[in-house]
Amino acid sequence: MLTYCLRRLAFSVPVLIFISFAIFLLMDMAPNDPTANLPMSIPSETRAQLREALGIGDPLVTRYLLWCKQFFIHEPLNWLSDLTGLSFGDPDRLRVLSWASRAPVVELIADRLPQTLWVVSLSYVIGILIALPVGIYSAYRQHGWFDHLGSFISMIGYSVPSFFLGVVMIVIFAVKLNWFPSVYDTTLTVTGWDSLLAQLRQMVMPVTILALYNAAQISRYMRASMLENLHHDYVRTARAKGASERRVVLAHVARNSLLPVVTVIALGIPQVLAGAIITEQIFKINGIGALLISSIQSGDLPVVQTLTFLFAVLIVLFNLLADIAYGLLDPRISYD
Amino acid sequence: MPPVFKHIPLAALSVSAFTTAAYAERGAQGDLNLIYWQAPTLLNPYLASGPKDSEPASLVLEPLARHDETGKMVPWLAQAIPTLDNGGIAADLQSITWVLKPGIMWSDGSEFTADDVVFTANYCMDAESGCQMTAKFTDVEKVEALDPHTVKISFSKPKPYPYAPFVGLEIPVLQAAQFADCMGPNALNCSAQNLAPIGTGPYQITDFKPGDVVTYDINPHYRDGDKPGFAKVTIKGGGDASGAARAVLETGEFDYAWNLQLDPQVLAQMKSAGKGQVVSSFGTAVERLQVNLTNSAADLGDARSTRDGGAHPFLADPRVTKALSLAIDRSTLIDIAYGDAGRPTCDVLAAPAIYASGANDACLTQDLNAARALLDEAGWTDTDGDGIRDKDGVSMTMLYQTSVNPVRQTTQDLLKAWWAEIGVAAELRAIAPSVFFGGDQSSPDTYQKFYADLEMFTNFFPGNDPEPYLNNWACTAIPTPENGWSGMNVPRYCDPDYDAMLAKLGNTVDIEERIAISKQLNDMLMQAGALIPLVHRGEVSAHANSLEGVRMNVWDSELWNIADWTRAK
Repeated sequence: MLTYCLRRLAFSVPVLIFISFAIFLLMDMAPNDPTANLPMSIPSETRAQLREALGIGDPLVTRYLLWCKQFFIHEPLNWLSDLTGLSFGDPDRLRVLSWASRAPVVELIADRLPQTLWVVSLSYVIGILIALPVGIYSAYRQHGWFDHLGSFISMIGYSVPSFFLGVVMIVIFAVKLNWFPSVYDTTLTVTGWDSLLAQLRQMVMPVTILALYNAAQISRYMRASMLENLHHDYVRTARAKGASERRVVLAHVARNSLLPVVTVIALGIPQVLAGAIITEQIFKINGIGALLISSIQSGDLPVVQTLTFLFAVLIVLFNLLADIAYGLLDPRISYD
Repeated sequence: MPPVFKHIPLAALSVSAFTTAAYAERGAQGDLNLIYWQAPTLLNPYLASGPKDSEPASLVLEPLARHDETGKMVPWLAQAIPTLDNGGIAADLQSITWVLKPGIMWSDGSEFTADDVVFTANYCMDAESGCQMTAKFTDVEKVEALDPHTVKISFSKPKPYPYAPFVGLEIPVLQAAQFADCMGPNALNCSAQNLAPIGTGPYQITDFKPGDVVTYDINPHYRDGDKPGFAKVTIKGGGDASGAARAVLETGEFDYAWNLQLDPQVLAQMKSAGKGQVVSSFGTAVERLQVNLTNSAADLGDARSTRDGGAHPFLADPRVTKALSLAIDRSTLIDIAYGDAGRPTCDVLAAPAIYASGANDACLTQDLNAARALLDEAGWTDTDGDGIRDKDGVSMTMLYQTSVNPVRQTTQDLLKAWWAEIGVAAELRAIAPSVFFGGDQSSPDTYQKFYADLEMFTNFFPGNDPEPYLNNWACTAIPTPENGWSGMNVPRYCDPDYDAMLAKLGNTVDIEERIAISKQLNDMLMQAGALIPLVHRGEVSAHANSLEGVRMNVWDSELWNIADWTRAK
């Protein structure tokens, strides 16, 4: 198992390097200009000077290698010195800086991560907690009223876009009823009951929307997987042995049905971290998703490059984790 | 309530006058929440990407003089506006001398002096710094401190309007001590300084998350002991204009929302919730059609959209552009797409009011018959019966491009329909703003390459001197392949008379004469059909009913007088 993991990790290094170069190349070929958003009154010569100061005129390979050096060498060294308090090498080494804010990209991401993790990962957890029982029971009572209701709600969760649902919720719960705020306050720090309550109130609407979507998706997988397993011979055997229905469904069928669902859940996690771009935009959560979208709009290449690369890392990583989980859950699968 | 209140006579007028004064106590108004849906990303206006950054910075950084809400210059860090009469401007017009107010402190407690002003000038004039305000320092030869409170700016040639450096929102004074290590190429890498500049303004930055939120508290060394009223200010970013408007007008979570260019009906409906009001102010911005006077046919190759490629087959005829302009119903366009944020105009120099020509106002009323007659007169008739006019095998079909923006696409649709009525066809195109307004040499879709017949965007000039703006249409400002498609003369208009008149403007000091020449230049552009002005655009913001003291200002920062803002009791 360990050798398998190490081998897979070693393989992922060239894959990631290739991905990072491909992203860089794509960004470079896209017609984009970080000075495009400047007011019209700023003359072209000034824009040209600014582009030069940002280093846009340098050859592609130089810029790519510079990014690699800053991201793979300087950033880890900085992180290490922050962590240990020791200094490694030149403390003034250049970090990956955003073109729009001139701040280190890693710090921008660190600013944005808490709200994305809070809102999006909580909605993922809640979504899973809803999806599994719903999927199991819907399959067990296939064509029953619960199954129909479950299917109906998942269809809504799947098909109604969050930019519509989000605005409807704001109009009802923020404008008419005044229960929840429509703008997420990222400066809020939880220090006591009041602030905890405020934090929960501002999370209710975005978490509900995202949880509904996640639950809809995962419950359909769970239901399908359960239906497939319910008709297997081992289920009849378990019943023949005199096992209780509860034991048959939960210990035998559900456990076996979880296998493909675990893969779906694991592969969905990178998307969680990539943020829910639209929901973040509607509730002004300003997490990772909002950072990515605003950077694309302003042609902020270093931020887009770093973020997309981090997503690539997460996808490769969670693919590996899904494979490992598979091996652990299914004794028939062995990687050695 | 202070005890002195008892001695005030109970006449209603004086009581109400006094209540304002009684509340004018530093920090007594609590918290103020503003929403800038385009989030600030950088708080150094010299490197910033527009008002979304420089306005939040204006709470901290201040210039020597600002413009008030009527566009008038008011001294800010300076004692008075230098003029020829008070000797602040030299008789040869080659220098201007600013005298600073005494006793002004930076928020870190150090003294503000003329050296800071000199430093800031040198900081921006360094070509390697990436400073975006270099145009403000055009012809500046030297900036020197005569004594700790006097700054002299010398120009290399006589400057009839010497108020470009250090007047207005975009060119405040930076603290020399803080930015000392940020000269030249280091300017862009000074993250800590650029994200949290130290200033002389009413507030200081306590926390800034780029692209998300800025929080401020009171600058303890602010010069006026009774101000500012609000103790804490938060500027939140993110989302879109309608979400920002909703947060002020419908839910009341925020006190002020900036830049609300929204469908007029949507805004009116939100306003009816009764929680806030919409304010607008008109500056110099005009949404206009740029007419390509040169041929943009693709088969011309490198000569495409250049004067070498020849004149446009029909748009170079002023009768045609006049007909296109007459076919537009500007009032209807504004009702549908702009609401409070627009007024019809036929001049590209529509403001300040003293500069508005008004000689071209015939286009304000739509007249389809007159438009058809003009086209007939120019020889364009529908010979092949396809509904589109033609002449010598050339059909009047135009490619009409602009940036992606709901208001602009609505405008495109309306204009296309009106032109169809006079027998002119338009093919519409919307390009992503970062491409359209970008300077990417390899992209065929930039507004400067102008591989189309018409294009639409807004331009404006900051402050109230139109000379740099009118320079945009000089022959030398035409974008060409040779100059890397730079320059703002997008219509490729070139008239020696216009250039001669521009030169005259550059040497004229008398304000009345400057106004007369500016109007004449505007009229020349209009009569040549180089541009078709559509809408004089205003800035629209909203504030809560409880917020008092807002003097919406398009000439400077909207937050220019934030120190005076109070909460109604």
